[in-house]
This record gives sequence, C-alpha cells and structure tokens, in this order.
Amino acid sequence: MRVGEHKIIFTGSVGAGKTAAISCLSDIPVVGTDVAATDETLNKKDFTTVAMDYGYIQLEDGELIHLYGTPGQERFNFMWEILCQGGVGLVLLVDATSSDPVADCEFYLKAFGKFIEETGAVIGITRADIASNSIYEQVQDVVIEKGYPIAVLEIDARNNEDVNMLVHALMAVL
Amino acid sequence: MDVTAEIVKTVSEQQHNDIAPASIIEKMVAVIKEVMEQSDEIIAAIVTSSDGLPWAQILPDNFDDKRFSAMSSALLALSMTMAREAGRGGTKNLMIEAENGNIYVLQAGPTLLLTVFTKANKNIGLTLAPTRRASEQIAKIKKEYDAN
Repeated sequence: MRVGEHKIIFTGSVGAGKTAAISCLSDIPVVGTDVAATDETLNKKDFTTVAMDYGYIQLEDGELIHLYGTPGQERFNFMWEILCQGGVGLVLLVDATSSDPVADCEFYLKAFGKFIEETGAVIGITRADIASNSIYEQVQDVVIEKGYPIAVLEIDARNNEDVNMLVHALMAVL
Repeated sequence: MDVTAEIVKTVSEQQHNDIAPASIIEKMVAVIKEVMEQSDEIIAAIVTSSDGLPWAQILPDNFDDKRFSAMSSALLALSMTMAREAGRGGTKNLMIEAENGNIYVLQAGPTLLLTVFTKANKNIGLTLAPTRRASEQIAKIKKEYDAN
C-alpha cells in the first residue's frame, strides 16, 4: 500500500451493520456483494454479503482510507484472511440485540486475534438504543481481560458522524 | 435398481440436510452424475445456494463441500459486481484456469450455482457445453420445487 494510504477491515456478526457503516462513510458508492439469504440470516434480513464490501474515504489531512467489509458468517472465513492482508486495523461491530452479543464479540476477537495483535482494533456496539440490556460494560470486561488496548463505543452504523468517530478512534491507536 | 441409480440414491441420502429435501437432492445428484459421464474431464461438481450453502454434490473426500460452496458464492458475487459496474451486464459464468485443471462456476437459475472441477483440459467448450445444460436442468428442478 502506498504512503498515505491505509486499509481497515470491518467485521462482526450477520446484521451488525458492516455494510451500513461502510456505505455511510464511503466517498464512493459501495462495491457490494449482497445476495439473497437462505440461512438463519433470514431472521434478521433478506440479503447478505458473501464476498466483501468496499469503499474509501479521504481524510482531512489527505490520507486515503480503504474500507473493506467482510461477510459475517463463519463459512466465509477464507474471505476474512484474504481481506485482512495489508490491513492496518479492525473495526468490530457487535449487535447489542443479537441473542448473545458478548459471545459474538469474543468469537470475532478470537478469530481475528492474530490480526488484532499485529495491528489494532476498535469495537462499535450497534443497536444499543433498542437492546433490552446494556452490554457496554460486559464488552469492556472482555477487552480488559484480553489485555488489548481497544476502545469500545456505542454507535449507530447508519450515522456518518458515529462511524467517523469509530474510525478516528481506531486510527488513534495505530 | 441399476448401478447408476443406486449410486445416485446413496449419494443423495448421505447429503440429506435441512436446506433441501432428499427428492430434490436426488434429482440434482443425477444431473451431476450425468454431466460427469458426458465429460470425463469433469472430476467433481457441486450445487450450492447463492449465499454459499451446499445442496447436492459429487466430490472427492478431500474436498470440503461447505468451504467450496462458500467460495463459489463469494467468487460469483464479486464477478457479478465487477461485470455490472463495468457495464458488461449479467454474469453467466466464471472460469478459473489453473495449472492442474479448471473450475467453472455457473449460475443455475436465480438462487443456485453449479461449480464443476475439471482435469487439465484443452477444449474448454467441450466441457462447458454439457455443464451449461446441467445448470439449466438444475435451475428447472429448483423452479419446479419452488412452484410446489
């Protein structure tokens, strides 16, 4: 990757808001690979990303940030490896309304553990406003236990300011 | 029951899952078997959903059906996006020419894909033609199933 260019990866469970986050942040229309879902994804939405999402943003200082989103389902974990190549950091989105958001968080932290150790990460908790319980502290505990310097924020993945803040929090620790 | 029918039945029974009923899998395995007979260059084939779940297959033991299903859907979805954005229209199929053989991923109706694996071959058309017919047959089986 050229000087002044960085690649960050968005991951997290199905429906956590990866495609939405990249869409609202990107300067260009997102390159998406949505197809009709036929698995348990249908409980949440009709379409799902099977290869990747791609977009980019130019920061105020001229830095170009490439944004890559992964599929959420574990059967696409070969894409996780492919997309992480050359990446400088990870944005992990955790859906507060999923059946076990803390387990989701731990799962992706483990799956991307090597990449996080080599780079850095930030966690965005989505749908916190409509979840029955706050998971913020539990997610904090998971992060502290892992010993990673990972910021945890509650965000709306459709809100440009929120996602921007998340990306800046990530860039700050890299 | 002749030998072919027996193999088809055995394979499809092994592949019974929650996604597709056994009768559909049996029909699709029969189509796969037929195309493999028509072209001795095809060594394996799998039908998957467009979101990467296996439906029916004849694969060697060392081929992971779940992994190849997911890869087929990811590859085809990305190919479709690229073709569409480059103004090339819909994607009919994707071809990977590799050192030891080729891999073709074909659309089989709106919700399924057919992926075939070949030995190193010289005439792509000879393999692709029957594979294309097989993808049409699979699309037809799925359409009939959806209609009921």
